[in-house]
Amino acid sequence: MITTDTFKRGFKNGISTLIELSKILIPVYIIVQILSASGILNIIAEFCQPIMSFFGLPGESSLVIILGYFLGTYAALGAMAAMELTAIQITTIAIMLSIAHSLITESAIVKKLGISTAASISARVFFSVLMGFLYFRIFGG
Amino acid sequence: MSAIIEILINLLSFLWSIARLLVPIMIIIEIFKDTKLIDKISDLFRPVTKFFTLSEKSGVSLLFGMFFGLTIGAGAILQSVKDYNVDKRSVFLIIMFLSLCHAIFEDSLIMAAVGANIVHLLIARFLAAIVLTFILSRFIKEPTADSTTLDVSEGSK
Repeated sequence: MITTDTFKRGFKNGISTLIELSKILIPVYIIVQILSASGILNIIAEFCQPIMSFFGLPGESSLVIILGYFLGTYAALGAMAAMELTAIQITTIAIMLSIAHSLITESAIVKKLGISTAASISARVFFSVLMGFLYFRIFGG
Repeated sequence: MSAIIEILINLLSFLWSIARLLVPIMIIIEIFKDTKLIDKISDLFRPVTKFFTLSEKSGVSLLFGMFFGLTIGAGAILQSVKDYNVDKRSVFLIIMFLSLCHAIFEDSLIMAAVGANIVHLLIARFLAAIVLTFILSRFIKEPTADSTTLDVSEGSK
């Protein structure tokens, strides 16, 4: 039976879960903002440029992947807009980024449920790289 | 100073974007519970939970995480742990699945908008999540003692 109590309970659970998650989300959000403003990500991206041919991608697309891994999909797509890419390359980036993105924020959330940050990040990056590589080998080669 | 204010405003709108999904979904979950619809959804997911040897009540968290994203999924899992005592092993496996495959509508549509092949994208994502979860579910022992499963989750780097 649905009563007003159902809605009250749902609302209460929603708010208490939000507070629970905010304890992580707020500090992590600020860290990510600082990281984004500091220019560190550009340095990492430059370092990763040579690896990109592994996925059949141009060197400068390393910035797209690094922004996606650290900040999130939207930041990555913003950086991608200026680039000339083939349909296969776009799908390769899409696969890599949908599997692994916003790693700092999301692994902090997952930590709340007792899952180690190392386990969740390494699984995501591993499969991101693996699927990106396989996709390029199968469709791009 | 204006940079700090901007970060604060962004932070608030970020929290609001989570709240406006999380609160309605928690209400929906309560409605599911009170109408016993949650049992039907769990039944529907039984082949999936059985395949990954998960606790039966995990289906709903998996569903919400897949549709609405990892943060919402994590919220639903936090709640399901309180409500149904979902074991640590199941939580670990669901999170690993959801880590690779969540918010499938939002993520895929954005990617399709910039020209990605949405079918290839979804297949790649599901494949990765299923392979990872299947392998982990065969490696991690069924929950006889919770402590053993926790060790594995901490140790698998």
